[in-house]
Amino acid sequence: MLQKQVVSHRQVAWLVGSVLLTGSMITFYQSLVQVAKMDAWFSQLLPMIYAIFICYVLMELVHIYPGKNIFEIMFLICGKWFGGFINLILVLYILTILTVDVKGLSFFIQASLLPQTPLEIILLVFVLLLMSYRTLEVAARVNEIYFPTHIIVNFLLFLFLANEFSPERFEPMLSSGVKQILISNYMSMGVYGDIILFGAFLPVFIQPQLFFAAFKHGVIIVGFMSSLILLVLLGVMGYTIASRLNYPVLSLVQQIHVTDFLDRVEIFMLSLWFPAFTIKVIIAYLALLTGIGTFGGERQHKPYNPPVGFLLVVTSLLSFQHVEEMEVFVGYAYSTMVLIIQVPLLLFLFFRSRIQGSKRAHEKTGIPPDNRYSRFYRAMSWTSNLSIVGCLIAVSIGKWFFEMDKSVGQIVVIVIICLLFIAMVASYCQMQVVNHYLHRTRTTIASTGNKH
Amino acid sequence: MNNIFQFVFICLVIIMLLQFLRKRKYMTSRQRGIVVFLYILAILGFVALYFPNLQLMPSHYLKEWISPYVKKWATYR
Repeated sequence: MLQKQVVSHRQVAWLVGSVLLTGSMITFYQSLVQVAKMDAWFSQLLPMIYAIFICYVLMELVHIYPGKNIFEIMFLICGKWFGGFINLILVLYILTILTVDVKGLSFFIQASLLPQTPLEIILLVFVLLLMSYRTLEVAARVNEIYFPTHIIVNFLLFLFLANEFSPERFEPMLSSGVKQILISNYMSMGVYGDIILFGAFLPVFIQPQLFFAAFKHGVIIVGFMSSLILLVLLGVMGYTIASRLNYPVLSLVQQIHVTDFLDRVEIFMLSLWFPAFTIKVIIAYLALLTGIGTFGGERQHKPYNPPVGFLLVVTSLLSFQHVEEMEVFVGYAYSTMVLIIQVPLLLFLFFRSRIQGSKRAHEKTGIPPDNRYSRFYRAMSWTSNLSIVGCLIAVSIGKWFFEMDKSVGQIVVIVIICLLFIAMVASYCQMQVVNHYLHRTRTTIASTGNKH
Repeated sequence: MNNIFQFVFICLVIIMLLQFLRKRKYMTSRQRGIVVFLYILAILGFVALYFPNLQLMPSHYLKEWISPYVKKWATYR
């Protein structure tokens, strides 16, 4: 069932963007600002590297085990019992992601739009919506409409909030301790770890090199956008207010006062954010169905849809009685849980794929070395990687020198925004060059076949 | 959650389970077992909602155990 689905590299990049960006916009930024204060916007750098590492491991798995998803791979590598145990942990982890998202959205909708509607009804309607999506392909196509619009609207935030923005609100920049900046990075890693959900759809990604580039591009888009949203949040509200609000991004959008007639812009923004967020939850739901389906020995997950839907309703109702509980869990406990599950699993899969990969090196697909596509690919890959490392170096140097000159913070802001933008463009070029090469190769093979 | 809602949900899940058991010929026994297990879990979950002080979700215990340490670590200067 999964092999028949066709998802393009651009759709994958945007799906990654939806999965990682939209979830954290409900309450997560509050915890980041509480810890790192005005330096919270440096919190996306290490998680980006971590997410790219996850993508690398996933794509190595695609290369070594073509046509298998992560659950089937675990059964293959670890056997029926131990593999089943690891898969059970993964299924519970995905159920936790879903519970957090569904309950978080219900709290959010109740607080912002439907204060009189019972929480159970909001939750039930949302789960029914999830149950109606059956394939990744449909979600990817819907996402193609909403994700770019959501990104454009996020950029428009700058324009609309220009009159409220004051750089003094995040001064003195880099005054938080190194430990606080590192912990804020650690807290964001949990959200970026959600990218492992795509492990359930590995059979869809038939070209590892192309899809690795697409994943990487998606991750960098998220890093860039999240940093910018945090920067605007801090510039408009300052860290004192932002760290006390339950829904800081909603309050940020409510600050838009451009003209007298442009009122309640947040309703318009919500109508674009909601479908993009729903796509994220659908991806998690499909991953959960795939995981449970693997226990049944088949990829057919249609029969599991009604009971899993009910189970999701009940687990969401049982968890998090108040929004504050959810904030504390997502902000302070979620990353630890994610890293405890993911790091040993990923390291194990990484070394396993390296060992298997050395045996199958001759079967490597993608661009062959020593042609112009390959040289351009490597150049773009290095550019994007060095840009991300450059951001880390810029923060370190800025932290080192900020006590000598307070204006260093402003220079660091400009350098990091430029470097993240360069990384985003370079990763896009990296993705496109593989796509052009594969397209050209396919066209050449087709024309040769026609001649014969 | 309202008690009437809960009762309606439990009845609904039981009806769906019975409906599933009536038409189950196209599945293997393992798949049937998983579906029945999931339905029973859902029914037990709805019953557990009658006891609001009962904390069943692992996320609650993770929050209770981990977050104080991370918070203390993050705020200690």
